[in-house]
Amino acid sequence: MNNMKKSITLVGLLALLFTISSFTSNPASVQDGGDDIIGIWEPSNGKARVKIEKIGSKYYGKIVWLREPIDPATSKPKVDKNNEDEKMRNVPLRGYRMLKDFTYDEASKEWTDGTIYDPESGSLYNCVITMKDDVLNIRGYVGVKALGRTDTWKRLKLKKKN
Amino acid sequence: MVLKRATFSLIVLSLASVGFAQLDSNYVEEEEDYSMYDDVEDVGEIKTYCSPKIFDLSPNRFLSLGYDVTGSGTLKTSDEGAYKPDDDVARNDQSDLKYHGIRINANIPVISKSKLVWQIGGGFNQARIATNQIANAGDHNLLLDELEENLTSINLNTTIFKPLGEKNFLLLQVLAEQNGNYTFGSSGSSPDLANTKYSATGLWGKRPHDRLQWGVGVSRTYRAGELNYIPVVMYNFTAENRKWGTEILFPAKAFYRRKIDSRNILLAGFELEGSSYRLYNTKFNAQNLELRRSEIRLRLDYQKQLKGFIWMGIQAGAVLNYSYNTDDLTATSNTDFYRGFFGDQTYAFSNALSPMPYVNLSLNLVSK
Repeated sequence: MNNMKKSITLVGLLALLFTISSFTSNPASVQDGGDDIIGIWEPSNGKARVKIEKIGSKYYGKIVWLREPIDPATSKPKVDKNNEDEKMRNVPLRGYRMLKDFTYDEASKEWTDGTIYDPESGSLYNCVITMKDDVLNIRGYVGVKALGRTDTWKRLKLKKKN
Repeated sequence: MVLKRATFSLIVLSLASVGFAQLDSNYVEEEEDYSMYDDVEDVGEIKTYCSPKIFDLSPNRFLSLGYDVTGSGTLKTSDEGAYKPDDDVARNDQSDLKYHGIRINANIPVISKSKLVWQIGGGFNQARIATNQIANAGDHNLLLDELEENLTSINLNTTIFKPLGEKNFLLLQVLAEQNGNYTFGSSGSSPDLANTKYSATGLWGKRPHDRLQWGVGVSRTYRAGELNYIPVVMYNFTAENRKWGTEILFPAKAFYRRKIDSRNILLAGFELEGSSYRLYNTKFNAQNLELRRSEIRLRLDYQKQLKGFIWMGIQAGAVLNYSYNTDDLTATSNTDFYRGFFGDQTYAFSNALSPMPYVNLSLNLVSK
C-alpha cells in the first residue's frame, strides 16, 4: 500500500514538473534559436517600444513604451480606440499585446503562425518574423504573404542605472 | 481513497495545463514598471522612413470586383467636325445612350518594405453600350454602331513609392492600356498593341506628420480623353479628431472623407475617368478613329467593412461627360498627337453627352 502511495505521489510530482516546465515563461529554461527574439524592440516609426517574451512555447510582444502616451483628444493615457471590438476600446495601449502566438520554425529560421495588431488602424494581420543582426523584419499580411508589408524593428537594451 | 485523490490531482493539473495552453489577450500578468523602458540604447541599427499612408485613408484595394451601370443620357453630334451631318447642319443628330459593365482590378505588392514600396496592378473594365438609333442620321448612326460594339479597357500599371527619409518621398506611377471597341472572339476585332496608350505621373511629396501628406508633380495623362501634360497636386489630410479628412490628387480626384467609424467610411467628391479608345474596323472611310472619352464622376461613395479585410463599396452619383469627341488620326500617319487645351486641330466628330445618373457596386479585398 505504501509503495502504491509513493508511486502515485511520484506520478503527480512528475506531472506537475512537466506542466511547469512546458508553460512557464523562463527563456533561460529552454534555450533554442527562437529565443533570440526575446528582448525590447522599436518599430521603424519610433512611436513605440515592444517587449517580446516567451510564454509557454509561444512568443508574444507587448507595447511597453509610447512616444506619445497621452491622447491629445482626451488628455488621458492612450487606449485601443480603433479596435473593431467595442469592448476592447478602453484597454490601455501600454501593456497591449500586439504580437501574439508566434512559434519558431527552426528550418526556415522564422517566427510564424502569429498575428500583429496595428493599433493605428485597428487591423489584425497574419505575420511572419525574421531576424538578422539585431534587426527584425516583421511582415504583416492579408491571407497570403504576397499581400503584405514589411517593417523593420531595431533591438534596444535598457541602460544600466548607476 | 488514495487512488481517487491522485486521479483528482492529475485532473486538476491537466486543467491547469489547458489553461496555460489557451493563453491569449486575457492572460493576466504581473504589474510592470514601464518607466524602466524610458531609458534605452540602440543595439540594432535601422533607418527611419516615412510611411506611404496617413491615418484613416480609405482602404487600399488589393483586389476589386465591381459592376457599373448608368442611366440614360443624350448623345448629340454637333455640326462641327469632318463628319458633321451633311444633310441638315441645323439639325443636331441625337440619341439616347447608356452603359453597364464589370470592373476588375488588382494591385499586388512586389516589394513592400519601409525603404521601398513597389506594386504591380492590372485591370479589366468594360462599358457595354446601348443606344437607340434615329432615322436619317447617317454618320451619327455609324458612330453609334461602333460604340455598340462596347468599349473595353485592359491595363497594366506599376507604382513605386520611394521614401527619401522621415518626411519626404517620391511617387512614380506608369500605366499602359489598350482601349477600344475590340473583342477577343473570332467575330470581332482584336486589339493592336501599336495602339497602346501610356500614362505616367511623377510626384515629390512631404509627410510632415501622420495626418498629412502632400505633394506636387506632373502627369502625362489621357484622363481628359486625349493626350495631355498637366501639373498634379496631392493633398491627403486627416483632422485631429480623426473624424474627417480629404483625399485629393487633383485634377484626377478630390474627395471629402467622413469616418463614420472604423468600419464605415463615406466619401463625397469627384473622380476624372477617361482615355482614348480605338474604333476598329469602322464603316467610315477613315480607319484611324479614336474616341476621346472622358467623364467626371460626381459621387457619394460609401465603403463598409463586411468581414476582416473584405469591404464593399457603393457609389451613386452623376456622370458628367467632359469629352465624347472623336479624332481621325489618318492625317498624323495613325500616330497620336498632342492637342492640349489650346490646340485647334479639328475633330472628326464633335459630340456631347448629357449627364447621366450612375451606380457602382464593388467587393474588395483591402489593406487598411
